[in-house]
Amino acid sequence: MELVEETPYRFRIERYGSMRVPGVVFASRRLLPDADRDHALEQVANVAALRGIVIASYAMPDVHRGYGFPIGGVAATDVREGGVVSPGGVGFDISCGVRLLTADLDSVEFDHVSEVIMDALARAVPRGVGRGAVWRLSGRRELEQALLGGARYAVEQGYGDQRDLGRCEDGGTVDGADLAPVSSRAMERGLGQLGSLGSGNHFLEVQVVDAVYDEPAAAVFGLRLDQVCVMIHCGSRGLGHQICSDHVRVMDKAMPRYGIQVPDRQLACAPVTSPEARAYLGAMAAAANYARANRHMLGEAAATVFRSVTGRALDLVYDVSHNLATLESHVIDGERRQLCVHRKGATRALPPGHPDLPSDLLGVGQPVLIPGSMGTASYVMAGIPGGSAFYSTCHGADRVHSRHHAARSVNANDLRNCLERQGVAVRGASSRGLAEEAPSAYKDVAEVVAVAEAAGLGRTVARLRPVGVVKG
Amino acid sequence: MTRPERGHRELPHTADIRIQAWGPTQESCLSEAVAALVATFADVSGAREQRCVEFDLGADTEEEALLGTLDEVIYLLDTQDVVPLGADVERGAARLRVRMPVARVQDVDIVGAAPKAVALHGLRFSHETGAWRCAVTIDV
Repeated sequence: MELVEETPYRFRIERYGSMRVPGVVFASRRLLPDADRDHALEQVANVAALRGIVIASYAMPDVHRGYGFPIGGVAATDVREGGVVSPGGVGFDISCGVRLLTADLDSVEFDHVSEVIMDALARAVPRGVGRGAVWRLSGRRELEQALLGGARYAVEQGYGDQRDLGRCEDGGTVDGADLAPVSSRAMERGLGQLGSLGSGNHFLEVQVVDAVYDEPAAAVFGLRLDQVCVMIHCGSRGLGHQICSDHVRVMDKAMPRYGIQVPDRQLACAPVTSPEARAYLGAMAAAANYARANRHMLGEAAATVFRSVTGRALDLVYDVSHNLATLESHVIDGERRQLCVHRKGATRALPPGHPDLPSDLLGVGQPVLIPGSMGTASYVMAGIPGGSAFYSTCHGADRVHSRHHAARSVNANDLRNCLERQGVAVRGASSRGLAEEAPSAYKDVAEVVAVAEAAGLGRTVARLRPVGVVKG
Repeated sequence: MTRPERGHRELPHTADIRIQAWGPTQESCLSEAVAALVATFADVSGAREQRCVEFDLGADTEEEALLGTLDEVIYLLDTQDVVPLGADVERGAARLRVRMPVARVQDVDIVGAAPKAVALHGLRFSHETGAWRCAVTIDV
């Protein structure tokens, strides 16, 4: 593999083997994945071989090894040119994403009630293994409505208000959801988990705005220095994973019919216009709606806690996913084309003036929410004009050590004590779960964000430091 | 040191979990794969069996049998709040039959992130040098 440094923040993987387009990696030399240990760049090259891919197979500054697609990968295929959709290019956790809310509360006011709030959040937020959810669905019919309507259905049922939808990607509902290709198993897994965190790297954090880099944008987003916020990172739970599993396996078997070969079976794919792809995209939209409703309900649970303890409300800054495929219109070589844009561990970052933005965000661009690893800062960025990779940017801190390595090298009690000494209250993690998510297992999110900005993938608006975390 | 005739272990993987299992027969290898998967998130030593789950594997290939067995562990966890204490796999007339004694989630010690899916990436299940061996990547 030949890697060419185009700029200090942009590297090109020259075409080789079956690559149809080059790879483009937005990274500094320090952030470039270790080719011997990580294999993420090899995965960027594998994605470049997908049928119908246009311009390049992109990697964001937080790229790391996934399966099939790298995590932190962006790839667009041209629908009219036989371009494919790959469920592995979205990932198992369909529409995994981040929701950020602000409280009308400063850090000193929070300190007075922090223990009470953290204990109440720990009780109010279902997490970890198995069932348990904020929204006790009455049955399959209500689940189906949530799959079709997403966060909009939750608001219609009296949870939250209309403003929540304006600040949610796609207005809280992904169009085109289809229940027919959602398996019974997916439905069963979804019934008991709507409004739950899960485990792994998912969390609910209380944070404080400790730096503002772009005052006008921060003001429009509703952020001010020393303000208390709540950040929620989770996705479509077992339902989304089941949908991905089901459709990867269908496409794995269907590929020979379309004459498609892929270097990694998790890249299984089918032409966007094929019945298999239409089924996947309909089921994916249903899972994305589940994820939107899931984060919405967790936000409602947090708002109830804040209201009962402090008398203050929570306001939504934005809700955005970082695992999704969307059909988008882009101009390439002077021609407008319909593309299927896969973002796996990458966030859409619409520029100021983009027609898909709500009117109050038109002047500053879309908020992009970048969670840090546990105990480290998170960031708010904004989309910029001329943003690269079909208006995409990073999604967080990338892993450098395996869960296996972290679990064996980190003492969970020491880590918990260390976080508490840093002023981060921890609730609800298993010892191994805590150790697996140790900050030392991740790269520095500050560097990821700085490189994303330097590479022209967005601009930094604010930094948030954690003061309390509820983990699965 | 010689490797035991049957067994399992967890392998390092940057993003998620990778497990390996082996045994003299396909059935024993599948049993070990279940034990490997459970060990990544639960310590079931001393847990009491609540009931036994039995099912036939409708699999056309060895690989599908492996996927179907591990899928069932994840499905039971997400829909019935139970964790397998092990798995007995027997070859019936036409299909493999799996029996899993299970314990309630609240009766076992949860020690890691819950498994949520079995990936096709790097999936291996084959008979080589006198033993069945599998390696599987699990999304958590």
